[in-house]
Amino acid sequence: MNNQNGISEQNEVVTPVGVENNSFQSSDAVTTPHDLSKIQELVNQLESKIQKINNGDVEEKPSFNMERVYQNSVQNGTMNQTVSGEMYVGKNPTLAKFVEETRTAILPALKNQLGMGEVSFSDSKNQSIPSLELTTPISLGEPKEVSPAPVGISSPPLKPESIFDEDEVIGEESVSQQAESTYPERSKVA
Amino acid sequence: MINNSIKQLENNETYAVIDTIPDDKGTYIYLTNIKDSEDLCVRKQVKNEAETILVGLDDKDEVDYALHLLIQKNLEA
Repeated sequence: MNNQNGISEQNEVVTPVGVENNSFQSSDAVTTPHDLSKIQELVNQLESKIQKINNGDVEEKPSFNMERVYQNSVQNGTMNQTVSGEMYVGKNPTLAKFVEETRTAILPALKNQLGMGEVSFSDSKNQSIPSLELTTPISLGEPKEVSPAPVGISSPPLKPESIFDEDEVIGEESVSQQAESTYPERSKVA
Repeated sequence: MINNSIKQLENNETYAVIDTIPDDKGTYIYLTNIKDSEDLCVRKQVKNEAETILVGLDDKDEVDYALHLLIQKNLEA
């Protein structure tokens, strides 16, 4: 329903909210009542920040003070807040760009601060592997025979075909060749 | 709390939500001060009996955990 000025009623708004040069994309872009001038002020601040980033005035990879992050994030001193107090600005391109650029900028710094360096997170799960690197030589004793499985294990024996494909038999040759080539060295050490 | 939203925290500073990650412990909300992108904080969105609220994290370990989730998510993206 329209009023005398042709403006839709609040529950029927279909036109973009009129923030000049930063118009929102859809009627659901703003879900809570608020002062548009405040949003415009925020948008201006974001644009200023982006402009600084583009001009190289802002350090690309900020150095985080993790104590500050901890202090801001932990329960102590943090007041519980209702989520309903948020302002959703939807598809506003300026905010979207700010969020994207900020996220891109902080991730390397966070990785560095958390000691993850250039290692990807998936690699960090295998960090126990490098610790197996030996810095001191060890003496190789006599090769131990692989003992059979203890009696009393109720689980069924493994089926070889469930682990190895027949096509992978070639791998056994390489293993045996490697064993032959390394065994004399073991004898020297022993 | 959703992406592309802005929230004023208890210190009267305005923060933009840069990411949200649901987890067993709750949904982690990552916010940066729009005036200072080095001012990062993590909150947890939990559902109370009547409303959804933002709470602080339990300790530094949980903050580290949440930050790892953020890095992991964006590396996989």
